[in-house]
Amino acid sequence: MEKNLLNVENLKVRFYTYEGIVEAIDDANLNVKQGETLGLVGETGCGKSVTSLSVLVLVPPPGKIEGGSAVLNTEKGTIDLLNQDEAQLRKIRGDDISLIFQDPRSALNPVYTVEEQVAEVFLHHRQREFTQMVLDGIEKDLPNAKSYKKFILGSEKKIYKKMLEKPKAFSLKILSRIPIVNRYRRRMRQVIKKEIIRILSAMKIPDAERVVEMYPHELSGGMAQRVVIAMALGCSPELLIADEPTTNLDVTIQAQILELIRELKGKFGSSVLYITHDLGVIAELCDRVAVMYAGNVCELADVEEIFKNPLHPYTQALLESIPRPGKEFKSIEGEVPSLINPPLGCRFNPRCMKAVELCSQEKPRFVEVEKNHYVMCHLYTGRK
Amino acid sequence: MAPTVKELKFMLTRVKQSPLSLIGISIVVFFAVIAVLAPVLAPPNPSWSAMRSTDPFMIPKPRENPSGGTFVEPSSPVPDHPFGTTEFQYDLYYGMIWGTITAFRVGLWVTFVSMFIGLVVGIVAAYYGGVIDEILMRFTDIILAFPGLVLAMAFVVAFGRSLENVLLALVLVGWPGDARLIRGEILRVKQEDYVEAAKAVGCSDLRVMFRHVLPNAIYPMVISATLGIGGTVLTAAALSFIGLGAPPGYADWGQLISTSQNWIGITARAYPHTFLIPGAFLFTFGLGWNLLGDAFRDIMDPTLRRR
Repeated sequence: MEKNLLNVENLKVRFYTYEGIVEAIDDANLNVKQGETLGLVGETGCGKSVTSLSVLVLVPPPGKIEGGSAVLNTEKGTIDLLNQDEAQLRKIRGDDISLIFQDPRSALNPVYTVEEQVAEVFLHHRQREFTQMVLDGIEKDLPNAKSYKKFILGSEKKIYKKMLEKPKAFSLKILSRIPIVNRYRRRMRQVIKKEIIRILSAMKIPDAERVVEMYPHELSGGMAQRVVIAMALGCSPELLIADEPTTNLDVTIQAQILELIRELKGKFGSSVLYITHDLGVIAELCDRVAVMYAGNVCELADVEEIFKNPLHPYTQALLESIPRPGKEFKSIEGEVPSLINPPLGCRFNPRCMKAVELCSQEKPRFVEVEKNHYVMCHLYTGRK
Repeated sequence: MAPTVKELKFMLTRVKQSPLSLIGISIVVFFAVIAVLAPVLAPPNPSWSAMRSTDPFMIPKPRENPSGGTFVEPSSPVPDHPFGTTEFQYDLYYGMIWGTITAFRVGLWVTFVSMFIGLVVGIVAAYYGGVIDEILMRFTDIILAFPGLVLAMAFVVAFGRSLENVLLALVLVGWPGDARLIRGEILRVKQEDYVEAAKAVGCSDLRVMFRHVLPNAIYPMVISATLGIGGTVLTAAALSFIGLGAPPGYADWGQLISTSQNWIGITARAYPHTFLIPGAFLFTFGLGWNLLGDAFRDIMDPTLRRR
């Protein structure tokens, strides 16, 4: 059997607030296959973003991951994300898994230019590669250099060789702080700048040479989102988590960004976990869909299957509530339950049209009802 | 063009656009020139009798009473003493020139030291949070609960009258404000998406703090510090005026005003120049820094600058 790229099982996340314990995620199961786009859909506050942050182990306090597992299977091996030390996680974040935020403008640091921000990510994860590129450049220039330039190039070569062997050496840290001496870093910067311009051009940013020198507030929303995507894809991550990346953009830009993500997915070979509450985007972009409700993943299936044959009553109601011309608008009765005191049993049972007694007593298991179609509902567990 | 050069050019154009910042900068530069040229403008003259001490900050007394003791009454300006002399015959011109150095020393030293202490305390409190934050912030609350001038006075009285103690006292009352400001800003910036984004690309905590949070949080503090330099000098002058600063005869504007207290009245024996000249210097100096602070705010803050 083919291994899934990401396997999240029985994930439990709780927030310890003053009002009580918020059971934000309770038994979430989902998986992302190699090269696919999985849509994660649900109402506001149902735990979509927390799920994505849990995968990066970045749940903000007072939140805590209390149970379950999240496993990433890459070519390099299997990584149990929830049992890694901080240093290991820092290597994974941004390199194997990267995240695109909802609001691109606030995801960029206002005091740095585009170049500086993207360069930081590159330096963090791809330093070896760039050092090698710089060394190749020096090797090429060295035969043509004369007199003192030869000397400078020679010492630069030594420094970069050292950087290749021991990138964290103390002497290098000191050298990079001394003015004039630290000019050797210019070569590195030029190499990185070239790479950034190349990637930004791949994002279809016009005039990338000019854009790299701009500050975030000089960019338009669509442009900023492209820069953010460039940062996320720059290190060719195995998994790209996109947390509602198009909600703050207008519709034409939204279409362009979606098209870009689809295109780049092929180019960079990433799988995508796409978080949204827009079913239209899901239908457009995704291969499979996971539907979340109140901290549970209640249904997981291929995108066509979900739209044609929704099994969970919540998914059915959700699809019913898409407004269409000539059809009466139907909303789901009731309110999303408070997660401090979630309903017993199935969390959807107070609002469910098909609820039976069992629903408010026992929590349904997450079962495969049809091939590749998982549901968490008593209607399909065979017990009534 | 190199980015740094570009930034500097941009700053210059911003300065040129705002006349008030130009005035502020000119005033501060004017005083800085006076301070640097002090030994040329008012050379310490060894023949003056009060120059027994080698400290150039001690104002010479050009006229000494041959029958012992000094003339109490000030004298009006004469070519040799362009600003006249004060009570006890201290040369006012010399005092004003060398007092400029004192003013810079007070303003810059106090501001930098209290900014540094405030920065360290604020960062530690905001970074670690929890109990450490609670302890540090309650401690700053305690200091902030005292009226600043009274606490500074108490400090100077307790440790003895000297300019050094005035500086320390001003730092003591100055740093809690800075600490609070920087802590609040850091807590605000920590909520921003780009900080989360920096963590999501794998930056370490320290790197996030110093590269992403601090540069966004420090501007209000730099601006408030620049605005505070003028105020600090005024407070130091106030302490000197009530007799808690530099000793009599020391080149310090506040001390000079204090010396002329007795000649303020509108009587036949009033010598308004003895307090008007130091007062005008003090006023202009404070105004210069305040205008410069405003200019700083407009120029430096990258989030405000290009709108």
